[in-house]
Amino acid sequence: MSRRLTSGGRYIDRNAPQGFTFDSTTFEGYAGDTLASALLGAGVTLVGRSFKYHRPRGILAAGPEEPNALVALGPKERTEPNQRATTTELFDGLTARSQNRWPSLKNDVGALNQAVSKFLPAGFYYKTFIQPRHAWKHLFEPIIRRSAGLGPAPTHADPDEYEHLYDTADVLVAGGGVAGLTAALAAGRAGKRVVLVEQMPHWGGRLVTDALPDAKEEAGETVAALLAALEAMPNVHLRTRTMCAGIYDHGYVLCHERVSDHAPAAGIPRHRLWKVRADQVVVATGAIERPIAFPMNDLPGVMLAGAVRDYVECYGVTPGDAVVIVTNNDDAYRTALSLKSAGIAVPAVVDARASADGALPAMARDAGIDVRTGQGVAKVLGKMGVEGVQLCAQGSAGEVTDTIACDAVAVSGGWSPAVNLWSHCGGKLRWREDAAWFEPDADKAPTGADGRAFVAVCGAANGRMGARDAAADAADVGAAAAGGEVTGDLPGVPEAPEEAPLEPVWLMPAEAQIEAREKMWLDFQNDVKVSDVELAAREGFESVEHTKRYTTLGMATDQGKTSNINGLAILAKALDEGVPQVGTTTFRPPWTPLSFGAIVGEAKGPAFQPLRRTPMDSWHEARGATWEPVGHWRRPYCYPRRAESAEEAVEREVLAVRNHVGILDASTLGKILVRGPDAGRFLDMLYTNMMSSLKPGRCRYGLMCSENGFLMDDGVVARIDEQTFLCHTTTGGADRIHAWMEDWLQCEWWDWKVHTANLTEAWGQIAVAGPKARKVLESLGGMDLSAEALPFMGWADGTLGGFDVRVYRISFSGELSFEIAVRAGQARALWDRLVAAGDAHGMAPYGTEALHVLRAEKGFIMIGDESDGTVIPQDLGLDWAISKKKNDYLGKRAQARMHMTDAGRWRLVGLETLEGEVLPDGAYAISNEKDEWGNTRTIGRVTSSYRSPTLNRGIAMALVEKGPERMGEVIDFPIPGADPIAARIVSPVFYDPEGEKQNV
Amino acid sequence: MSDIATALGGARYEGFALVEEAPAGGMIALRGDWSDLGPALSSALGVEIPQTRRIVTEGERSLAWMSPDEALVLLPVDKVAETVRRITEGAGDAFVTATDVSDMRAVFRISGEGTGPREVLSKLCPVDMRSLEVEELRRTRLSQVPAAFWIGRDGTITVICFRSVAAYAFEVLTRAARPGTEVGHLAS
Repeated sequence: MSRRLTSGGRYIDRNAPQGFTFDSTTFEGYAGDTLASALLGAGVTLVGRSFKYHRPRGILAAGPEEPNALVALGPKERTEPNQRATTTELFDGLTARSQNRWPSLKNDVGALNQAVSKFLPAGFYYKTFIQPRHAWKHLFEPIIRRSAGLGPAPTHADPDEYEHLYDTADVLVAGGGVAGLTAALAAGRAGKRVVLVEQMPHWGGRLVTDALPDAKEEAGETVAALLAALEAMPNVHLRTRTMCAGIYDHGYVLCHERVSDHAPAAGIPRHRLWKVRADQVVVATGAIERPIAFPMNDLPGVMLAGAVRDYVECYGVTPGDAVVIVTNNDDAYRTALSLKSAGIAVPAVVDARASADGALPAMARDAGIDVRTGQGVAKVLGKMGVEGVQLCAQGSAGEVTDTIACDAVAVSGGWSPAVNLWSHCGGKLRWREDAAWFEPDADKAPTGADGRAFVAVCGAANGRMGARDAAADAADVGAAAAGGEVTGDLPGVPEAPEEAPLEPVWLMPAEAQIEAREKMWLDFQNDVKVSDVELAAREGFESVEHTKRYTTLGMATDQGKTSNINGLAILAKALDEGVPQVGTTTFRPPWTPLSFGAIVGEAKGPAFQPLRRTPMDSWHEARGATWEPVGHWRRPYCYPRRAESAEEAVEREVLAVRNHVGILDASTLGKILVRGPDAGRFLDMLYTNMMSSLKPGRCRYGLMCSENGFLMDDGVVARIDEQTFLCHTTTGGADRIHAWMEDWLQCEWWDWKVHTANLTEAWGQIAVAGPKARKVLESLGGMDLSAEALPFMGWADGTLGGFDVRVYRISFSGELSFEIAVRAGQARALWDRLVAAGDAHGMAPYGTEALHVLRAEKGFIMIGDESDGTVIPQDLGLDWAISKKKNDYLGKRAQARMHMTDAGRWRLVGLETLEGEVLPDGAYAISNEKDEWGNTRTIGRVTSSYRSPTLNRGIAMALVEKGPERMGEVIDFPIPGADPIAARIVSPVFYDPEGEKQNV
Repeated sequence: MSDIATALGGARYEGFALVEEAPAGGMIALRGDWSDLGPALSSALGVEIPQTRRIVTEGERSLAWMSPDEALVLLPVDKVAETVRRITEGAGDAFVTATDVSDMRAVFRISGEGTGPREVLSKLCPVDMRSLEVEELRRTRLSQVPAAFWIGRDGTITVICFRSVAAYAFEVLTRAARPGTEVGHLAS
């Protein structure tokens, strides 16, 4: 079984034990461990269950390519699922749970799926759940949904914090192995600003681990020297725990930094998302080892050979006490030597090649290791873990020649350059027949806007596997990325023995029968086997992209890092094609998954979305206002008093305005200044009515339409002077209408002399409305507000209570009403003065709902209620606001279209329910007559509906077919689950139709 | 006349950089071609005309290039009305619009050691804070809201945004400036 060695492990600190729990059992590891190494050190080899068959899964790798050891981190409420144990740094108090098992990891009911695996072949979704038809919705889909997904979602909102960071670099280097360090140094020496990111906490990559025993010290010195040289350069920024997630157009690079995952602390972001603009990107991401497809290769205890020596050398952990090596290359012999020098038994190296005579096999033989060439694995023995291997001749069908007892298997099918980042932005690959891997095609690099390559690749990622070769390549590439040449000495990289070429082994044994191929795993996470890919080929899937989706090969959270090439090769063989003819699937960002939190960044909690507040916002809040979002503003919906419901508050506020006086914060209304010699002409084009004839000192209500004639905004325009207008817009329309104006001025009427300025936030605006409004204002003292001095639809500058103000006599309630504009910095002070002055007159603050009821009683339309983007002013009976004298205005010609002038259009009317009830907003009216297909005909829709406190009954506005021609008619509104409501068509003006109250 | 309130009443946060809301000041927005704006402004302000994307400060007055047909004047609030009048007069027949927008925005100052102030903004704004020069003005976004900022001669950064989102802007600025979250990337 796996265990901690008594010595060794250069990443761990044996003086710093760290307690952690896995599936509620407490274990101990050391500072510097990953969760994977700590689990192995504690003897835990079973860490999860596979997706489909719930097969027991152990740790396969030691880095980000890990497909199996996915755990749920943290307590239930803040669980982070699918975290790779191999990249999770251990800290004291870490809690982790295994996934995809019930009731426990060792006894998992889902494992029954294995018994029926014959019925769960590739594409079983598409074949199995067809009949009976209704079973999909009620039976199959619910079950599939419940069994889908590996890890649990957290039950609570994420309490952690995240942030973004924008940076720039001349050269960004991804990967901190010997190649990345060297490339960064070469680029840095050329004087460029270099950012070097490494996903793991350590620099140097595999250099020290892969060095032979007598060269390890030198290798360590190489890394230290490179690092020291880089740290001494002020133009180089080094960042560990930072994963280059993706490379995009225009040198845009996304990096994910795990700031405090390894040392959680309050106030420190957990992750940081780097958004870097880089002139050049150097990819130095190394290579990924591939497993070999042999029967039962998915048992816990089967591990990549490179990972085995990582665990032995970096963490002082062995996966077993007797480790058999299975290989098709020389590199895996390093693992044999590593284990041997750590005192672990290596019963045999099983080498599929006919002969193994290179330097590394020779060293293994010298160390007394049994090397079996031309051999393969017929089967791995064991149920929950490795108990032994049966050997056979590699060229055979799997007749067992020998059985070796062991508790771990280290497997190497060769290495593949990690080309993902190269491919993200369009870099092409070429197949290297001799090495059996895809590597970047330097002639087909990702290119930038100037057509030149902006991504370069070096080292093992570039197919330069030997450390010395990789470093030399990196120096050239790094210097070239910086636009220079290699200068100065570079730290020496230890010499490594020559390696004999590998022999591609896609199937072990080569003539394995179907029963054996059904036990050979390609994609460990998604349970895709050799037989699944072959089945897909037989069923006609020729394209690798289709096969991928049909079998789910490489579609798990590891994106096929360990399965891609093996799967392609199996598919190629089944199609009788070469691997390059089959091609690869497309690598897409991110390289490894990154957290949603990092993508969200600071945009959570109070920073989730900008909230716009008026100068009086804190007053509303203190008065316990309930809020209504309007645009990004928050506006008081109403101000409930103690024990008062919102409905009661609205009624009280409406009656206060009708009977006494009310005060409203109207600051959110759009206020756009339009000025210039052509301002009148411009507004005549924008509004349907005539604005150029407006006299200074006067106001006019106007409508704006789109080119298609549809009503898009409304508001009161005040003429300030000969050249200047102030256009009020709806709250939500201010920015849009300002942009609309600028669009016409900049793109169409660029020679018109008109300036605009969106002054919405420069002013606070306060509406005081009700019969006693004038009295309240006059009590502050200042300007003359008499009907003679300031008549209805006029405005005047002056002072009120010492404040410089502009007062508009406009009314959206039908009452005597003043809207007072005051500089925003004094709006709250004036508001306080008005509130105090209003006390004597029974004044109440009122919110947006009272505003809506008041305007509906008057039959005033509301943009967004009575209009919805398909309504023209004529539909709303607003013909009086459409100038007949003007040659043109935006929307005029569209409004002359046949459909717009159709007599059958739905037009605005008022509705009075027969019983006084309140119609549901949006209710549809139906006709007694059926349409030509025998269906019920819809003839109208409620656009606004309220209980009118003034009239003490339900009132509504509606768009009804030929509505104004049907006055007095009663129409039905069907209500789901209740009796239809009958309503009589009436004028939409329910209150004071003569307009006497506002004009006093 | 009542005092002029700022949006946040002079809010202040001391992290690895100091973030504080500036006291009420005056602002004048100008529209017009720079060929018209230049003469109108130089006679009214006595401040050098800024180059594209720059801000020029002399004493308590600053003049910023905001766009090819837009300028912004910053000055003491009690000088605004008079200055608007003088600019309009100075423009003569030229088509220039000067508007008092003193209360329209919130103004923040970010100060501190080294690259700290720049770093705060590098967490929120898609701007190359490394190459931004002193007295260079940048109109951009601050997390999710429009904003502009420039670096003064003393290294203090002035950020302006709309008044209604002042609380949001202060929230994201202070989060970005929390002690312990320094990155130091701008030092290299």
